[in-house]
Amino acid sequence: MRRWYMQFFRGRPFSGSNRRWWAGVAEASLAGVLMLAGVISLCVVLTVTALNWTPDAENNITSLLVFQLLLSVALIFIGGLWISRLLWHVGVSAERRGAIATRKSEVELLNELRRQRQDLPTVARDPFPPKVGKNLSFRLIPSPRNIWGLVTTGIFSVILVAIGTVLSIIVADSFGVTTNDWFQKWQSNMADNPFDDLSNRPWLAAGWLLPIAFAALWSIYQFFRQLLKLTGIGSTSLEISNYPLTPGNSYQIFLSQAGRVRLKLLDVDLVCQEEATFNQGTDIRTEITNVFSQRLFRRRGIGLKPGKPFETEFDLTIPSGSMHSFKSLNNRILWKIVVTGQAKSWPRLERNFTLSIHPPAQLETKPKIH
Amino acid sequence: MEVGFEDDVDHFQPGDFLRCEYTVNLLPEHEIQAIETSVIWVTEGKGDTDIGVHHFERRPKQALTPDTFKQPQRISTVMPASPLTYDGNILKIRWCIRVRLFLPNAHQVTHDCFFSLGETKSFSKISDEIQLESTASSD
Repeated sequence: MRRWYMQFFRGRPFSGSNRRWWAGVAEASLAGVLMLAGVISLCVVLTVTALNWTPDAENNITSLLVFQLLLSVALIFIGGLWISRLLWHVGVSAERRGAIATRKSEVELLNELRRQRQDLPTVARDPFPPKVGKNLSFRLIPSPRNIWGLVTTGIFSVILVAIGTVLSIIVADSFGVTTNDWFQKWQSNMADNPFDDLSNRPWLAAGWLLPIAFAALWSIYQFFRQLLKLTGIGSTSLEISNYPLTPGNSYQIFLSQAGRVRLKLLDVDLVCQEEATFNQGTDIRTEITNVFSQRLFRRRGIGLKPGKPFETEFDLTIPSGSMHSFKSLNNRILWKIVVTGQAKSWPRLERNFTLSIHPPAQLETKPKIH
Repeated sequence: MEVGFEDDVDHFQPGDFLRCEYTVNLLPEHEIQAIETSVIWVTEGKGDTDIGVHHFERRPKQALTPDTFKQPQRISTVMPASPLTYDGNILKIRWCIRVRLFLPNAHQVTHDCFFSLGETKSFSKISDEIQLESTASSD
């Protein structure tokens, strides 16, 4: 089994390592299917138990039932854990593993950046400070991807699948599809049954089953779509020759894009945004405006192959006289490098790397913010 | 109340020594409870206003003498590295010297004198410059 696993899912998930292109998709699908199987199995076991429940009987909870419950929970747990692991590994690249080996240097680097931040309290702090790079001095950390869409769709799918499974059992039983005798037993205990209404009116249950089954299928499709969106195209790595940056200076950028697809277009842009938070009635709103955008790199038709990420270098110049990064309670000026890619039949790739642009001069003064 | 910069210079660079003077012309019946002087930056625009205080001084009634108002009072500080004066689309950052007089019955009189720190260009100007450069290089 282990050998088969190693053959099939060779390398780390979605790291662009040398493995078959469809292995990543299959792994994500298998994890999802495992979790769904657990949910369906759990619902079947619980529903059948509820329908077969005999008051005052001693053998309602059998060892087989406990085994089935444990198995279902284990399937959900393993599937969930597997998906979590896949998501965690999405951004891990060979460069990152190399950087972890030089953690000591990173601590020194962080101390230096922390000292600079103390001198410039209004300059926006790096939410994800850079690490030591492999090809250039610093490796920028991408902003984390939003996984709430995936989580919401996942919960929605589980609920719909659970409802759908319960309704299926009731409908199958009501129309005599199942050969079990628990329907008869249930009829004799109708007063204690939670599914009285639906079981008495099987057509009503069948009527509900159809839209819920469609909704469940749609939510499962959306779940896998979100999963592929997050894990589909491989990791993006950006390294920079110096950090933090100052206006008027030029820097070298090293870009590495892993994956297994053919990108129709790969763009890298330098973007500056203004962000304003304000009270409107009882709501707190935030408005974000792009005030500056400059294309740094563009390439069409890039074939990404396992184990051979696309790598290139280009220059970045922070325009002379431009505003530095800024952050106060309700306002922010944010600089970032945005990497966007488009591949046929894949969701759009977008990775953001926040930059810290410092003002040209640095002093030891420390203004207070109120 | 009058606030003026030394040599009439209202543009400073980070690390510059800011010097300014203010005078308060009082009528005999006026009584000052306290004076506060501060060098601050404020944000303006779509977002709620933020204020950062770089320099602050409060002179209570006990520290005020009759001579206080007969001659100009001086404010001096070394300007910090950030934030620089900025004129953006939905956000502006402005520096000012604020003099606040506290009068009897909780009345206050405030005077702001704006100045600029550093030299930042508007992004539309920067974009135009980049456009010109790329056109020149392609020719």
